[in-house]
Amino acid sequence: MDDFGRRLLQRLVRRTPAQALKATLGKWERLTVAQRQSVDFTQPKVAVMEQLVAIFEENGWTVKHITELEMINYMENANRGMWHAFQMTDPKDDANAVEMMQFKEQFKSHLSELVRHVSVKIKKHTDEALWIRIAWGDSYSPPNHLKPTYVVHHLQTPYVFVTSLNSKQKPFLVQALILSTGYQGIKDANLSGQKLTAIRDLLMKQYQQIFPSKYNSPLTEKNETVSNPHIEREQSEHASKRLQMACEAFGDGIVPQLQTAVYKLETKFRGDANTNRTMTKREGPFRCLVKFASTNLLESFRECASSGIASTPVSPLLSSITLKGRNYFVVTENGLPSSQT
Amino acid sequence: MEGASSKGVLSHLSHLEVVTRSRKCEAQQPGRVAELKAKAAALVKQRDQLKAQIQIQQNLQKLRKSMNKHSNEEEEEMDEDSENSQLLRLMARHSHLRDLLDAHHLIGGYDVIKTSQGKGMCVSLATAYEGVYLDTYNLELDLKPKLRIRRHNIPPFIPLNQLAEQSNMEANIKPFLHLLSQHLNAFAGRKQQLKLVKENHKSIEVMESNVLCSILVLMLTVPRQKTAVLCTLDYTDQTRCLPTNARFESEDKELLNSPDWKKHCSLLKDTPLHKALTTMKTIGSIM
Repeated sequence: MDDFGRRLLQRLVRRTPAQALKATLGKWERLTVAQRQSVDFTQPKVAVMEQLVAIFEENGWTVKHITELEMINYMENANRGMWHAFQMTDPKDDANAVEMMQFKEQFKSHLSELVRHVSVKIKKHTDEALWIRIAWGDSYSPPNHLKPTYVVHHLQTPYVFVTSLNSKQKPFLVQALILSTGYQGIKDANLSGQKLTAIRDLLMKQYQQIFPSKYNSPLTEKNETVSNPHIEREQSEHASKRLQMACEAFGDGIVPQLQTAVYKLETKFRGDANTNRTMTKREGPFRCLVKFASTNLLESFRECASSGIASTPVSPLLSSITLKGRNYFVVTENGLPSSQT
Repeated sequence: MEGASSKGVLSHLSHLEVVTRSRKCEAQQPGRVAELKAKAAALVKQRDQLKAQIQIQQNLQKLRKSMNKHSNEEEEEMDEDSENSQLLRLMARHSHLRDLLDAHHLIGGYDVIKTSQGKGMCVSLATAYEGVYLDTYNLELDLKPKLRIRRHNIPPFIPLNQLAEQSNMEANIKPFLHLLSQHLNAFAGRKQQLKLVKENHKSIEVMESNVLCSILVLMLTVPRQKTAVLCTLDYTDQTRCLPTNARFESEDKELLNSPDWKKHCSLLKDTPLHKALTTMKTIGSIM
């Protein structure tokens, strides 16, 4: 194995916890049972690394095989890096009939026509998602396997999730994608986060949403606490209404785990003309950036709204996160820019 | 002399073989008896359960009849143990309401409620396949200033906006709901069929499928020769849960040209997948 292969493998071993590495090797079909068992994960990473290098050299495996391993590892531990969502627009009639083999072939051929040196690997995950690993090179340099771009796409849906893509490579990826999926355009979905699962669930509607219902929802039952019965009677109706509204806006149960929501304000400053003359006299819009951050933003919002800290009905600025599936907004004088349903 | 003795040895050996074999059989016998007894016991238990179920169903039907007549005599025979009769009455009520709901859906009714003081509405569309209720999907609509979808939990691979445009939703919502319900029910049906195939036909490998369950590739195996047959099902019409196209691929071209397999092809197009596969299995065409 050459120096580069060693570096690549070393990086993979160093970045992955021992247990995850063990699971990854278990999923990799190339290793024999004996080889798998021979690796002792209790020893320090350096020793594990040496054992793996020995196995790789014994079988004559190269960079190609290491990238395979890296891909399996990333598919199992997807919540790393920053994921961005894109939405493809204007589907052609045959967009719903694209199947995997056809997509694989087309995507690879389109991308290699656009970029001289590129290495593409496509694999299907258990949840029908297509995972694409792209190592980019250019006319003079071979594909850089140290900085691969990962793309996740579910066929038949307009959404694409991308991580580690730089602006130079973006046009190539976008073109290859729309050519091979039967769509005619693509736009930034203004949604990003560290958890692929969260942004996927939000856009694919895979989290538990609450809708208005004729019947007493189980929500109110869940909210019941035993305290003073008189206070309870007075308060419970308001409380359950608040909870219902909070859940309608942000979802019930485990909500997609977003970390941030950013609002870029381009509005006029409103205030008392006497006290703040410099601000109110300004001609141009008043620019400012509001950023909410939390380990689980939607859950925080839901809690605020249901406990009465934030007012209900929930402000459309906040409920737009789930409603439109985005967490980056530009707010102008005319309110939120209208977007897709 | 030599020949006779060698013959004697061989016949002795074969005699010994027969003896040991019969001994093995004897040893197996008690085990087999126990197995059969256990099976008989299980069958008896199953019969009793079925009998009890029939009894419950009959009681339920009686109750339902008396409920329909609004007569007050229903108490007469059910009083023996109150807990059971109460449960039965609840079950009867439940099945009655369910029938009403089914009838409501059958005549084209939708579950709609008003929201935000009449400015919006919320429609819930239930999906069902072969009498089993599956996922329910919801749509929240704004009525003013114009009819518009506000929020929903319909997966993105159902072309919602396209359907709304196609059926001219703003003018009349009913055709749109009908079309959407067709799409959702067909999707739920296809998904359920795939689930049933995975559960009940372990010998069949699902090689390829997608989120919309509109493409399905199965690996079938012919018994004896162990020939692999690739079966591709294409559900181009997404309002149906039967494939528009079914085709087989195999190295054994003669096999696919046989009348049996031609019949299988049309069978797959006309019957739900899991049932078609069961039929093919019982005929002995596949494992």
